[in-house]
Amino acid sequence: MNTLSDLRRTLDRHADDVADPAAVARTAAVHHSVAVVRRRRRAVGTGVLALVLLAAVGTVLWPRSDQDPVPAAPVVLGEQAPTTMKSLGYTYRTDGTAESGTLHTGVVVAKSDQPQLYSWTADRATEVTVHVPGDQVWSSLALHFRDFVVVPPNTWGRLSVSASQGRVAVTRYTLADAAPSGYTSQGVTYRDAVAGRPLLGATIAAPSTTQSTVSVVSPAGRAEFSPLCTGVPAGYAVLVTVNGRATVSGDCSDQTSFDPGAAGGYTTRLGRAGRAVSVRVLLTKGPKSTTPVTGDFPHLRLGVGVYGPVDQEHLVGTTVDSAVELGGHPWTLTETRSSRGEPRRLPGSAVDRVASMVWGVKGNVEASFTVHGTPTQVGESSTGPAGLSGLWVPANAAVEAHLDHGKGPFAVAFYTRDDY
Amino acid sequence: MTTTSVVDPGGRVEPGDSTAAATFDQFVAARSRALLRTAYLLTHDHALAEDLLQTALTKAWFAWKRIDGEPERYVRKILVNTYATWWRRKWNGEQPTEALPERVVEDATRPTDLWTAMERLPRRMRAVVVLRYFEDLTEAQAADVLGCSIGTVKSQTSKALAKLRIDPALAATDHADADAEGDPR
Repeated sequence: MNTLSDLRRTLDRHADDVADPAAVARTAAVHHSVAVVRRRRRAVGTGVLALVLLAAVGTVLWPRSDQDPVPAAPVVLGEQAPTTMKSLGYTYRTDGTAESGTLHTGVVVAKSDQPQLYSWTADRATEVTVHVPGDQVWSSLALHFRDFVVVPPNTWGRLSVSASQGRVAVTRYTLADAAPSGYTSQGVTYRDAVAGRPLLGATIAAPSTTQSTVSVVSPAGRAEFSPLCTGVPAGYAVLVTVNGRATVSGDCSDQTSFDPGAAGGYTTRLGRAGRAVSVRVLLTKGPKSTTPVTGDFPHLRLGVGVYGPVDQEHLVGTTVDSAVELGGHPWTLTETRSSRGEPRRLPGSAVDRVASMVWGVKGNVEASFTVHGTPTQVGESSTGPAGLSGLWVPANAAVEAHLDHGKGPFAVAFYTRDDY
Repeated sequence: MTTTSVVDPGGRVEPGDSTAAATFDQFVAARSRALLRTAYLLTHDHALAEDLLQTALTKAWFAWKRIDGEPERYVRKILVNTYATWWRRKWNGEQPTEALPERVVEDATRPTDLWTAMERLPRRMRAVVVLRYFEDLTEAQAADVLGCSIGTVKSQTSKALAKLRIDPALAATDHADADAEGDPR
C-alpha cells in the first residue's frame, strides 16, 4: 500500500526533474502563436466579406486556390517529397513543412477544421513509429513518403516520428481544393463511396433554406444516413425523414463540414429493394420538433448523404461493419472474437489494427477495452445492443475486453489496413 | 515622455496593448517554469508539456486585459482545462468517457509505482490528483479550477486514490490531520 506522502513525494520528485531550456524562447513562441491565431481570424473575416461581394457582383473571376502558387515540395534527407498525396479520394498538397532528426523528429499539429496529412521517410531501412495526436501509435515499414496518416479536423497536439536507427523526417500536407468524385455542393462533398458503401444520393440545402430533399433507390440491404448540420446556435436539431416518416434526428452541432459521409450515423432498411424513396433533411427547433424552422441562418450547412447497401457481419445479436476508414486509410474486417460474458484477453498482431467492441446485452452495461494494459475506452449503454468503434490497437499490443456491469455476450472485431 | 508600441510578429501594431504585453511577457518569464511543472505532471511528457503550456499561454494572451486579480490562477485554470479536453473528439463513433472501471488488483497491499499508475488515470482524474496533492488546492479550489462541483472533486479524488492503491485509511488520516492543522489540502 502507498500513502499520500508517497504520492506527494512522487509528484515533487518528478516536478523537480523538469528543466526549462525553452524559457527564453517561450515568450517569442507564444507571440508567434498569437499572431497565427490573429491571421486566421482576419482570414475568416476577409472570407465572409469576399462572399458578400461575390453575391453582390454576380460573376467574378476568382482564382481557385488550386491555381495559387504551390509551395515547393521540400527536399529532406536527400529525398524530394511529393508535391501532392491522395487519401480516400481527397488531394493533399505540401505546405513546405519538413522536419528531420536523428532517431526522432516531430511537428506540432495545429488545431484546424480541416484534416492534415503527414508522411515520412528515413535514411535507411527501418521501422518507424509515429505518435499521432489522439494517443495513436502507428508502425510503418513503408518509407520514402509511401505511407502517411491523416489527422482529422479538430485534433491537435504533437506528431512525432521515431526509428531505432538513422535519421527520420516528416512532411506536412494540407487539403487541396480539388473535390473527390461524388456529390459536391456549396463546398461540401459526399464521396461516391465510403468504407466500400456506394453513395445512393445526397443533398445540401441551398443558402437561406432549412430543408432539402433527395430521391434515392432502396438498396438490397441496409442503408446508412450521414446527416450534416453545422453553423447554428446550440439547441437546434437536424431531422431526416423517409417518405415523410421521421427516421434520424440529432443535435445540429457538427464541428466541421469536411467529409460528412465518413461520419456515418444511422443504418436502417428502406423497404423493398429498387423502390424510390424520398429523403428529406430539415433544421428543427429541437429534437422533438418535426417542422423546419424559419429564420436567417447565414452560416448553416445542412445536408444528408445516403449510402448502401451496408456490408455488415452479425455478431452476438448485433452487427459490425465489414469495412471502416481511419487515419485516411481503408480497413477491412479480418478477425472476430466472441465471448459469452467472460473477459477476453487477445494476443497482439504484427501489424496495426483497428477494433470494434460490440455487445448484445439489454439493460445497463458498462464495457471496457484495454490495450497494452492501459484502458483506452469504456462505453455504457442501457437500451440494448451497442458498441465501441475506432479502437486503435498498435502492432504487438495485446488487448483485453470485458463487461464491468451487465452480463451477456460481447465480441471484438479487428480490422487491418487495405492499402499497406 | 515616450510612448511605446508593440509590433507583433504578424506585423500588427497595437498601441494600446503595450502595457498588457509587457506585463504578459514578465509573467511568462517569471511564472512559466512553475506552470511547466504542472503541465509535465499532467502530461508525463516533456514535449507535450511545452505544447500544453504554450497553448494555455496563447489563450491567456487574448484575455489578458480582462483578467481581474491573480493571473497565475487564471492561466493554471486554462492549462488544466485545456489538458482535460485535449484530443477529446468524435472520430468513427468513439465514445470517450472519463470514468474507467476498477482494475483487478492482485495484491492490494503491495506498493505500486505511483508515477506509472498515474498514467493509467483518466485525464480529469489525473488533473484532480495534481491539483490536490501537488498544487495543494482545497477541494473547493480544485472544483473552481476544473469548473465542476466539490462533490465531483471528492468522488474523482476517491476513485483516483483507489486506482493508485492509496490506503483509504491513510488517506483519511492525512485529510483529518490536514483539516485539524488548517492545511489547505
